[in-house]
Amino acid sequence: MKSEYGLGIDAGGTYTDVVLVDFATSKVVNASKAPTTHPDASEGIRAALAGVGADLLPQVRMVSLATTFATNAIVEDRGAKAGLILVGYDEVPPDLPRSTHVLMVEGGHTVTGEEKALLDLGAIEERIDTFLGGVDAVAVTGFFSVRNPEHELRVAQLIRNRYDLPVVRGHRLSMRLDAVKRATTAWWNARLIPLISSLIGSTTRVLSEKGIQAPLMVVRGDGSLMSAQTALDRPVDTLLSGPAASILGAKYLSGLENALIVDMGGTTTDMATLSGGRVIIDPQGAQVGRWKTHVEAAKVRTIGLGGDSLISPNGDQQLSVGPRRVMPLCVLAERYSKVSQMLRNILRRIDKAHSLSLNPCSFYVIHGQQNNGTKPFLPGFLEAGPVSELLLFEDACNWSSTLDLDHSEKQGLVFRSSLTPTDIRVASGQFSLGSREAAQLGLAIFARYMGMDETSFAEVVEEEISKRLCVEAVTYVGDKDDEALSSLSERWFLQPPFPTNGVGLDVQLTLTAPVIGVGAPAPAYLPMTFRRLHTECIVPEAYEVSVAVGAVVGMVDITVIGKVVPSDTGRYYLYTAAGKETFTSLEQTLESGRRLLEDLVRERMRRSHVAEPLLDFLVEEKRVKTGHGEEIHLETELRLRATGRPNVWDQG
Amino acid sequence: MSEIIIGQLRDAIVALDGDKAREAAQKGFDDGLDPVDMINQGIRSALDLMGERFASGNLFLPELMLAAKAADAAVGILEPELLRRGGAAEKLGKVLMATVEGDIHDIGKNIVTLLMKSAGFEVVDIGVDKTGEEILGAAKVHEVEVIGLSALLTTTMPRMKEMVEILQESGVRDQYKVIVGGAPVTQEFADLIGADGYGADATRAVNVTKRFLAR
Repeated sequence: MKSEYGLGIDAGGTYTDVVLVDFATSKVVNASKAPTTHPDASEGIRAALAGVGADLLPQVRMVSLATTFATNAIVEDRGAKAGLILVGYDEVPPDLPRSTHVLMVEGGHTVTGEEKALLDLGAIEERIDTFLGGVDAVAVTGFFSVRNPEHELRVAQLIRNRYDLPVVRGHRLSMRLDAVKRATTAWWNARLIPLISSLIGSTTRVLSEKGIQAPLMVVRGDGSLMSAQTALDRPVDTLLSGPAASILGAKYLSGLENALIVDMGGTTTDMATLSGGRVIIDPQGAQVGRWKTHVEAAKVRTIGLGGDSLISPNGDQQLSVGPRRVMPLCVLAERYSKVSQMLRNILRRIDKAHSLSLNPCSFYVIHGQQNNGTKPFLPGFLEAGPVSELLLFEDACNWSSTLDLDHSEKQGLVFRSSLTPTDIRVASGQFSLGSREAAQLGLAIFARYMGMDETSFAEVVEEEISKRLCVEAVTYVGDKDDEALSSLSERWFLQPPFPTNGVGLDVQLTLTAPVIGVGAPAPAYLPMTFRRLHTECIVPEAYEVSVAVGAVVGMVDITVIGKVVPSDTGRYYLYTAAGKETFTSLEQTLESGRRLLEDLVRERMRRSHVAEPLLDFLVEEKRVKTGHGEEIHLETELRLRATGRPNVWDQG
Repeated sequence: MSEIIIGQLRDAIVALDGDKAREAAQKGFDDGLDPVDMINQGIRSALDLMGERFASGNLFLPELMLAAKAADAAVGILEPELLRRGGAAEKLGKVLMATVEGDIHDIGKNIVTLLMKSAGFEVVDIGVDKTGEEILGAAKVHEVEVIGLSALLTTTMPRMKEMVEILQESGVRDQYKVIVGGAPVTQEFADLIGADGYGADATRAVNVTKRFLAR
C-alpha cells in the first residue's frame, strides 16, 4: 500500500517547523525548520518545506497548521482596526481600552430572551457611515444574545447590505454567558481576521507551488481542527493552538493517555494535562495576556523559564533564571564577530565580585537595522555594535545611560544578550548552536564572577531550573490557590534542607501519572527535574517538533449546546445558536432541539471537511426537590458533540 | 423557663394571635432570653409549621398571612435589642437582601435582615418582588459584597437561577457572593443554580455570610 502522509506546520513567532507524518506507521518521517518571516510568512514556510523530501510531498493527504500568530498579536496588542457595536450594554466593558472604536446602541434581551429594549436601528443607520470609516472588520454583540440573537443578526444584516466588511456576531463564537467576555472575544476575532487570512493565504500559496492538493486545516486552542475556511471566520479560535497541538503531539509520540505535558521552549515552559486521551480545557475560557475570552482552549500554565532565559546573579553564590528572555551569547557572537574578543577581554580581568548585582556578560544591542526614518534617541556608543554592561559600569561617564538602556529595552529599541541555559549546553557540547567559543567564555566569566568552577556553576543553574519547575508542577497539578501546598513545595524545593539532629525530615511528593517532556531543551532539564518528584519523564524521539506533529494528528471536534427552560405558563423555551423558540410540550422541545443542534453541527462539520461525523447527544435534566417536597424542573441542557477526521483520503 | 416562653411564642403564632405573640416576646425579652433563640426556636419553627400546612393544603392563604403578621409583631419587640447588639460591633461587610420577582413574602427575608444586622453586617433591604435587573442595580449602587435572595413560592425559585445568570452575563459574577434561602429552597437547589451559599435558616444564612466575609 502506498503511504499516506500528513504535513504538520507550526508557524511560531520565531521559527516555522514542518513535519511529515506517515499515518500508516505513525512515524515522523521528516522534520525541518526555518526562521519565520514577517509579515509574509510564505518565505519561512517555503524554506522549512525545502528541508522535507520534495518527492513525498505529492503524497500528502492532509495539511494542518498550528500557529502562535494570534496569541502573539493579542499579547503584543497588534491587530487590525475593528469597530465594536454593543447592543443593550449599560457601559463599555471596563476591560476594553478607552481607545476602542465602539458604538453603543439601545436594544438587547433579558435572561429569558425577551426584548429588553427595542433595537434602535435608526441610530445605527445615522452613524454607521462615519463609524465604519477606516475600519477593517466589525464585531456586533448583544446583551443576552445567547438567549436571543435577533438584534445581533439584524445589525449584522444591515452592515452586510451596505458594506463589504467581515462582520462578527458574538453568539456565533460562544454560547456562554458573560457579555463582557463576549465583546472581548468578538472584537479580537474581528481584529485577527486580516492577520490569519494573510497567514492562510501565504500557506496556501506555498502548498500549491509544491503541488500539494490536500485541504488545509488549522488547529484550535483545544487541539481540534477546523478548515482554513472556518478559521477565516473564527481566527480567535486559534488562540493557544500551539500549546494545544503540542499536547496532542506529545500524546501521539508517547502513546500515553494520561500525563502531565511539559513543553519547554526558548522563552517559557508550558504545563498542560492529558486525561483519558483528551486535552483538559480551561473552564474559564482562554486568557491571553490581560484578555479574558470565551475561546475553548487547553488549560495551560505558562512559566517564564526556558532555554533562553536570562541568568542573573542574585546574592552570594545564588542566581536566578528567567523570567526575562534574552539572546544567547552563542547566537550574538555569531552575528557580531567582535563579541568573542570582548568576552576574552572580560575573562582576562574578571574576579570574584564584591557585590553581585551586576551581570558580568550582559550586552546591549540596537534592534535591527531597518529602523530607518525616525531615529530613536539612543546613546551614540551603541552605533558601533554590542556594548558590555560591565564595561559601561566601569566607565563612570556612561553608567547613567544604562538606566536609559533599561527603558529603551522595554520600548523594544534595544535588546539584551547574556548567558543563558542554552549557552551552558552549547559550551558543554550537548547542543550545537552559533559560536561554542562565546558560550564557553560566557560560562567561564560567570563562574569566576560567582567564585565557582565551571562544572559546579553549571550544576547550580540546572538545579535552580529544576527546583523552580518542581514547584510549578506541584502547584499546577495540585491547585494554584492551595496556599498550604505551594508554601510546602517552595519550602521543600527552594530553601535549604531541614536541620537534622539525629532525626531529620524528608518529603516525597510524586505525580500519579508520568510526564511527557517536549521542546528543544526538554532532554537537558526535564528528566532531571521530575526525578526530584520521583516521577517518570518520557522525552519522545521527535520531542522538538511535537507542535507540528500534534497539528496533523488532531481531528475535528465540535460541541454545540442548547438549553430548554420551562416557562411560568407551562410552555418550554429552547435556546440555541439558531435563536429562541417556544414549544408546548417537553418532548417536542427536546426533539426540535436535537434536530436544530444536529443541523448546526453537521453544517459546521461539513465546512471542516467531515461528511459523516460521529454524533454523541447528551441530555442533562436539572430537576430538584424543593423544601415543600415537590419536584421542579429547572432546565435541561442539550449537548451534541460531533467528531471526525477530515474526509481527505479519497481525494488527490 | 425559657422553653416555656418560647413555646408560648410559637403557640401564639400558630394560633394567629398577634397580641399574644407580642406579649410572649416581651416577656422573653424582660427575662433576658437570647432574642436569636426566640426567633429560631419560636418564630421560625412556627412559620415552618404553618408553611408545611399551607403546602399540604391544610391552611388557607389568609391564615398564613395572619401567622406572618403575628410573627412580625413579635419580631418588632426583639428588633431593638438585636440591633443594639449588632451596632456595638464593627461592621463586617455589606449585604443586600431581596425577595425575588413575583414573590411578596417578606418575613423570612426580614428575619434574615435583622439577624444580619445584629451580627454586625450593614444590610440594604430593597424589599419584595424585585426583578434581577433591580437587584443588580441596587447591588452596584450600594456596593454590597453579598446578595441574599429569598423566595417562599416554588414558582419563583427559577428567578434565583436567573439572578445568577444575570450576574454572569453582566460580567460581575465573581464580584458578589449569592446566598439563597426560603422555605422551598434546598442545598441541592443552591448548588444546581450555582449559588455560593444556602441559608437553611436565618442563623445559618448569617454564618455562611460570616464565612464569606471573613478577613
